[in-house]
Order: sequence, then structure tokens, then C-alpha cells
Amino acid sequence: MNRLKDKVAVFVGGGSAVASVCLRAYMEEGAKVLQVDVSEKYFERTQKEREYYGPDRIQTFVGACTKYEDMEKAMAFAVEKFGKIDIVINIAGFHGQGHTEDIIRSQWDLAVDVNVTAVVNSTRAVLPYMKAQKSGHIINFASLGGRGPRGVAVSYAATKAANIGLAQSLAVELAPYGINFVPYIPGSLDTSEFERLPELGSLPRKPLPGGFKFGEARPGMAPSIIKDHPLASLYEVAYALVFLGSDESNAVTGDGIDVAGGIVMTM
Amino acid sequence: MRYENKVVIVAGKDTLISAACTKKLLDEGAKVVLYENSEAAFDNLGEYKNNENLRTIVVKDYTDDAELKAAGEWALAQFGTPDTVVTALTEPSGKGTIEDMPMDLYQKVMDNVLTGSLYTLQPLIPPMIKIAEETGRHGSICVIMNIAGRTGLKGVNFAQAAAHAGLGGLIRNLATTLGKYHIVCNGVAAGPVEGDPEFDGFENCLGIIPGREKVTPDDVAYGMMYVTDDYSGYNTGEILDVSCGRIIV
Repeated sequence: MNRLKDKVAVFVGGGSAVASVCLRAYMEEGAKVLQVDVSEKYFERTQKEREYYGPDRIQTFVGACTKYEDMEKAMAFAVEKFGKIDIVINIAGFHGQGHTEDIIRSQWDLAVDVNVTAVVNSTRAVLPYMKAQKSGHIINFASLGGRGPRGVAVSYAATKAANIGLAQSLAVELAPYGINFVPYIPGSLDTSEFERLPELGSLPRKPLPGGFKFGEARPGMAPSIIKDHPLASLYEVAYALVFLGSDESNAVTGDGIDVAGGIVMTM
Repeated sequence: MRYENKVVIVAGKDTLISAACTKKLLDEGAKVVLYENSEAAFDNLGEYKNNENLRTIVVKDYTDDAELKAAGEWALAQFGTPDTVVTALTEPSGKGTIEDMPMDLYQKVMDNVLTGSLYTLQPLIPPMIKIAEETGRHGSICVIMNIAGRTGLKGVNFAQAAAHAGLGGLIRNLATTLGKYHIVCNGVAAGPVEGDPEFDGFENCLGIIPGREKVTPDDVAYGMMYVTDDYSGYNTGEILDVSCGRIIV
């Protein structure tokens, strides 16, 4: 299994549940990975992987995706440790809390900062390296919440839509440099393997209108059309990210990659 | 290997894509039954032609329902019910406008691309459903099309656009009807393919990545594997554009 042999990847938001499983898949496929996250505590999930594969394959860097200087240092650190950067996956995300009429401004701003501006930061920081080598794959971890009605907070819906638009614009802008940029757009994920860690700066979630619980199907929200498969497993997500980071997807750029149990068709 | 113990049926029509898909699947451990419309088309396989995990059959006419039924029965008898079916049917038609394209050529494109894909899948889907109901086994279908069916391409004739857009509808319909059996159906929409003259001269069809304006048959095969392997179980009704960015401009 060497689909990513000798590839170097940077996971921005590398301590998330998704990134933790993606790390396993990237290790199985031969990559080297720098995990970047805002606090050491997010790396605890992948302690076993780091012990097993060692520092020649996995490194960590504490930094905020919302700060350009941190992203600049993170990319320089990756190059210092691994010699280059082939792949950047922007996984960091922030939901925010509230409905359109009462959302707290600080929650809205943080969603904009993490889901959109952070991508600008990491992209600007990695561009000198990818431009010089005339290649690279950058993947935005977007969301079906940015595609259509999914009962998510307004801050999440708006900023994930912006995240997709940004990726498609940058795909056009960066194509002349041999850099592919793809928005990856999953539906609901099964993260039950991991204890939920609150996103930094988040407030407790408000109940959804109508008394529905988060993750619960409700009227107007299309379900997966695949039998007994309401949620994507994190391995299904991880191996999609293997494909998008590998040379197998060199002819794929800009196109929104939905992995959503057919939900997009029935929204 | 990603397709170890898997059975895949690939339907091609003398395309480099069907050969590339077959080679990649064999590399990953699959048992493959390959349809082509002539013996000569199997030469595209090179040294893979004599692979012990490959069976081949000539389907002379993809518009002949009876021939496709017989081919399906023969294919099922080789390695059993397929885990995956891949169709990659094309019909060259050159340039033409709504005013000057001969209607028989238009009909030929529609019949071979759209109806041919339907006829190929029809005899194979019931046994896939049966296995899925009995065992819960995940099945997958990949319909390979071209980007003429995804977006407007100046100069590309309307028959190609209609036939390949029709494949998009076929994909979504199969996805919605087969999801309840754990069978996913997705597409790969290819940009102009290196070595295929169909889109030569249509500069506006090319991708936006310098040096990678055309896609390779392997690019398409990798896309096919992405939407059909064991990790594709939550992915259905989608079309992966493999066009070096042409789709977004």
C-alpha cells in the first residue's frame, strides 16, 4: 500500500477526529505527516500512531490556523523536518452557535476565521514551496452543510459554502503552477470512536428549533439513501482524502467532491 | 490489494479507458470480465491480454438487447456475480451542428452510449441485488462518461452532449433505486483523453493545468477505482470530474 509513498502532508486541524483517522490511512499509504493544531490536547488522540511510526513519519506543531504567522511557521517546520510539502488538508472547522436572528457576533466571526480565512492563511503560507516545486494538492474539508439545508448553525452553513467557493476560485488561480485545489464535501460522519472535544472558543450548542437533537433526522432534512448507512465512516472519509492527496487525482481540480450517501440528489 | 477476491465486469467499446481500467483492476487483484466490440480492441491490453484473471468477450453491437443479455449470462458464468460493473461506452461522431448533423449519426451516438449502457447493466443488476439481499455485500457501479455531458463545450456536437448528460441521469436514477440494496452508482466524467482523437481541435475542452491539458486513461481508471472500491460505500449518485479543471471554467 504505497499510494502516498514519500509524500509529505500537512494536516491543518490535525487533532480532529477526522484527521486522526486520516493520519492512520496516510501512514498505511506511506506518507509523512505534520499535524498542526491549536493546542497539544488535540494530539492526544493520535499518541499511539506517533509512538508506532516515530518522528521520521509524524510530527506535530502547535499553532492557530487563524494566524498567518503560525501557518508560515508550520509550513517552514514541515519543510525543515520532511524536506518538502506535497499535500495540505485544511480540516480545522468551527460550527458556531445560534440562529440567524440571534447569533453572537463573536461566534460568527470565529466561524469565518476558521472555516474561510484560515484557508487563505495556510494557502498563502504553503504557496512559496508548492510554486517552487510546481506541484501540490490542497484539499479543503468542507461540508454538506455548505451545500444545502442540513439543520446546521447559520455560521456553519455560510462559512462552509464560502470554503467551497474559495477552493474553486483558487483551483483556477493556482492551476498554472501545477497546484490542484479541491473542496471535499462529506455528509454526516460517524465520529463515535472519539470523545467529543469542544472546538476552541465554542459556546454550548443551543437546542434546534422543534426540539430535535443534533444528528437526528428531522423533517426537511434528506437522509442517506443507502440502506443501513446513515453516516460516513471515518475510514471512508480518510481514503477519499488519500485519493485526493495522491497522484491518482492529478486530473481532478476545483470540482466539489461530495461523499454524502446520495443526500445531495435528494436535498 | 484493493480488489482482491473481487469480480469486476468492464464494458468498453475499443477505448483506451476500458483497457486502462482493466489493467489497474488486475493489478489490484480483481478478476475481470472485459467486453469490447472487436477482437482488435483487446490489443490495447498489451501483456495483460493473457492474464489468468481476465476473461474477454466481443460484443459487436451495444444496441442489441439480446446480445447484451447473452454476454451478461456468459460473464456471470466466468467468475460469478460481479462486485462492480464499469461501463465506458463512446461513439465517435466528429463535428456537427443541429442543422447539419445527419440524424442517423445522432441516433447512433444515443443508441451506443446511452442505450448501450442500459443494456449492459440490465442483466447484471438483478444478480447483484440478489447477492446483496442474501449477504449484505456492497456492490458498486461506475458509468464513465465525458464532460460534454456535464457542461457546454463549444463545437462539441449536441449528440455527445445529450447522450453523456443522459448517462448522468442514469447514474442518479440507479443510485436512488439501488441504495436500498447497498449498491452504489457513481460516474466519472473524463475530459479529452490522450490518444483519443474525438476532441482533437476543440481547444476549449482542454484542462487548465499546464502540461496536463488532456487526461490520461490511467487518470480515469484511478477515478473509477475511487468510486468503486470498498471505501466507496457512502458515495452514490455522484459524478467525479476528471478533466484537469476544465469543468470549473
